[in-house]
Amino acid sequence: VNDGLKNWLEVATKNLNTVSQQQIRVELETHVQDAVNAHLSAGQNLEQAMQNAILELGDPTQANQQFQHNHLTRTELARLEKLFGQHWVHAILISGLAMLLHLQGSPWLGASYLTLGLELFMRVWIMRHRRWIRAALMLRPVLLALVFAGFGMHISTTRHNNVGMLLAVGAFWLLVSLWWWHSYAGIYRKLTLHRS
Amino acid sequence: MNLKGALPTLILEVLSNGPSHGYEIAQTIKRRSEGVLDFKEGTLYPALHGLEADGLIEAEEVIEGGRTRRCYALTRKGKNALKAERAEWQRLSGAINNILGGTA
Repeated sequence: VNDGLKNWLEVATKNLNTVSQQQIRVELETHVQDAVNAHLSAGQNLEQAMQNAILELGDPTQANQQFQHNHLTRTELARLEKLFGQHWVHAILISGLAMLLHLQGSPWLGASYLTLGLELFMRVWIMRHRRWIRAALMLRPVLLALVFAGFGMHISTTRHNNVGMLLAVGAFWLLVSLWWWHSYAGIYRKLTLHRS
Repeated sequence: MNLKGALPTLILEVLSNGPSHGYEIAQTIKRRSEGVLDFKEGTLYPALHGLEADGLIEAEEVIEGGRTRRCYALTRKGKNALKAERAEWQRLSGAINNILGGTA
């Protein structure tokens, strides 16, 4: 690959995940090869043809900004991998706590913790099989709703005059869900292009 | 002429004639506009990938002359989006024509 093109591609794919970088590089190298062939057919020498083909690509920094809008950056990928990481120990501990709470006469609290544990097991499974990541991102607030519902039911069965507490639990769930969708909406869209 | 914002629609229009790859799409836009619509070809690919992320087009890798190419095709959602964009463009250009033509 020509040095000028190599530099252009390096800037244009900066901070992107390696799979996207590779895909973009292959696609643009093919594009430049087509452009060089066209310039050669028009009578230019190889050096001129290559120079013009790279000039026609434009500003690599601008292209990089636009690519980052559509492809997962390394930071976003690391964030996803952390989210769907190996949470075996947490999943087992939380599930154990759920059983303990259930046995001690707090079934709703137990159910709440059990949902949390199951969610962690699900995340481990998803990361291992690399499937349903988008669905899991979208549905997490629904699972959290079950967790919060468990807390809510626990409050309503153990306390009187608990409307305020229930409203607080509901509002907290809403805030967490909104934050979640806001944080992951961009990543959710980009996952269409990220297939590995 | 600056194409900012219109490029995705033009890509959809080119792909409405059948699947195509990046270089061919760029050349088709330049040729059909008789050189009036010029753009930096490096911005074409982010636009293509954006349309793909939105589900308006889909890509398929094909081997052509020993090289791997990504060929893009319109999806059903893309066809509907193009239809809506065409209608919007007709409405907008009609309004501008009315003003510039001095018929008001």
